[in-house]
Amino acid sequence: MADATETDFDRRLNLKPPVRLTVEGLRVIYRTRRGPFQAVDGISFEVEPGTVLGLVGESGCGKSTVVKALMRLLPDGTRIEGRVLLDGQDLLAMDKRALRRVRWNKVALITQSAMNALDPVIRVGDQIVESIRAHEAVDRATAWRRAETLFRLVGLPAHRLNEFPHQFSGGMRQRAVIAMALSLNAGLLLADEPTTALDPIMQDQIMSRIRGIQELLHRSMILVTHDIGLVAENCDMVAVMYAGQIIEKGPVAEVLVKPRHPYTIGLHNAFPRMPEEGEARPPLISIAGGLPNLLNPPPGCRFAPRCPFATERCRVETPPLRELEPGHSAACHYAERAEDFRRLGLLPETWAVKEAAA
Amino acid sequence: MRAYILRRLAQSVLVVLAVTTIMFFMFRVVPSDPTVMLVERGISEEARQALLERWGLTGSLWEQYLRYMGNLLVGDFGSSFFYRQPVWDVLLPRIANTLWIAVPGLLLGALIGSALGMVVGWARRGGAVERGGILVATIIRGTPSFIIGIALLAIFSSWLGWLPGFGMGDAGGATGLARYLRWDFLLHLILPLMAVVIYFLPENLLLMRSGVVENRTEDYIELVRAKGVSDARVAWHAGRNSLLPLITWLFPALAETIAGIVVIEIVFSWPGIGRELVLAVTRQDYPVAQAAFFLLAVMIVLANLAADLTYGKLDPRVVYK
Repeated sequence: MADATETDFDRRLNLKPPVRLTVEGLRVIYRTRRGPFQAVDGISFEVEPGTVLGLVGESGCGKSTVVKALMRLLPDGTRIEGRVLLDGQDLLAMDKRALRRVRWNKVALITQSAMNALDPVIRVGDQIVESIRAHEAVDRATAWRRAETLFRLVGLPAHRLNEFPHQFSGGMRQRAVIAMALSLNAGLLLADEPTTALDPIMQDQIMSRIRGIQELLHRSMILVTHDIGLVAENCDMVAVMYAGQIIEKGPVAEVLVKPRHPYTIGLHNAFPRMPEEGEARPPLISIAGGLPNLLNPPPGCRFAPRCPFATERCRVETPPLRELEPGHSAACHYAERAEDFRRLGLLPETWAVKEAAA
Repeated sequence: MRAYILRRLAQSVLVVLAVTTIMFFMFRVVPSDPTVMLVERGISEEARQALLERWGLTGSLWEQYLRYMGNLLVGDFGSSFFYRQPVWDVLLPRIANTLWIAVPGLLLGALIGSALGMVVGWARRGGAVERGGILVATIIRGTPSFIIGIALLAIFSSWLGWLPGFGMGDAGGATGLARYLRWDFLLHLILPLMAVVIYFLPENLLLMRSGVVENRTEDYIELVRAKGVSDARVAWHAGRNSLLPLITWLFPALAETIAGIVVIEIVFSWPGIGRELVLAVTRQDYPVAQAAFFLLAVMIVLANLAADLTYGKLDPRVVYK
């Protein structure tokens, strides 16, 4: 924002440090008619101030539920256990007023579907002003000026603040949502599949916009996605979720280059990548089967029914998440054999056998 | 926008014209002779002819129709057979009487109804507030307006004896606005007004509730909550979005509710236009009945027009073409 004159937003920039997020034993149980549904089953992770954590997994693995739990947006009657510490303050233990103060001030949300994320009958500018004035005693004009600054920051012309969401394209709406998330310069940003509904070119624009903002503002961030490529480009750390559990986590360079868990290996192979010089195009391999029923989770490793390397032990004994190298953990009994798994995992036959058996 | 309004106005005029025409012929094909009540028996043939001429009842049906429409264009509804005075003089004070219960009744019904609907819609799903609210609203909605009126009469007038339930009270010969500036009039107003409010309220409540219930699970509501605004403010977003279907329903419903008000006027012997309409029909007082129907048609058409125009104000996505 070197080109803009100093605004109240610039002055605030230096005032708010990025947040340290520590999640301990987070468990989310939805109440359903057919019994309790364990969407998130005791996960722990940390986001160091100013870093980006990628939270990956297939649809239904619980990653969006984690994000909602972090802002306490889950429906009434949902049981949430564990601790969510924002700079040491437990968000899950807060009363309503304290929670209201923390929302958007300390932790802001960039939501999944840019389509309906904005109120259709309120001007976009007024929706940003609303978020500012909910927390700061500033007049409307000041808040509006800050909204203009934010719009420039995400690459939208300021006069379009006067328009309604339906006058925006999908990409513009996503930018507006990002601008709104930045309106109080919260120390932690939760980006829940921010590019899922967009075409690849727009995806790339939005992600480089988010990267640019991250470099400028040094916010802590969680990027929720099912796209391994996005994680590789944007994140420092990554946590892979499967059926409500984290099955592998560590630095991006470690986890994506030398995955230890068969699921991570499979996920990796299921995404297209550019072949290296002289190398044949690697085949796309899908992982057969689906997520286990979390109303009544099976004993043992939850990935065992789809894992080509599973043994009898896997079906009986739940593997703990254990640290294999400093900062890199995986929940697999046979993580030490990962090198073999990675080699075998590249062959379509390995996964096909499983498919035939299933 | 202006072209749109003009076109809708032209359509409205056509509708009113059609209604008027249908009304005119409907009353003429009813197998009874209005002259019976107008013209005394034993009167000489010349006198009878003179009278018929004076009341515009001579000539073929078509001639009568053209004469009627011509007079209508200059605002002349003719004279009442029964009261023997111009229709306007008969209807104007009665329209004013009706407005006293209709306007505040419908306004209060819509306001209280949608406010309660927001509360019930925002309450915990499956909780006592939601179940109770829906149950009570549905029961009242299914109750005909005369039952509501009779129940109010029975409780507050007959049993408790707190409020009068018949007519508007004695104006003591006062005319114009002075008729209404009486404590006694206000006491008489309470029960019929309450009946209109109670009659109109439940549907507002139920529509608002279902709108809020639908909207509270929308993505934008989640984001508003995440922004850390107050609960009331979040509910306001849901309510604001639920207004759209409510308004489209509201104005045409106003027209329908007028029918309910007619009945309430009769229960409370409120000398309004609705009661007069019913009396005029039984008295075969065609000029009054036709004029009353004409005014109702105009009201309904205007209500629909108002609905379309308000909708565009409330929802920026609506474009007039």
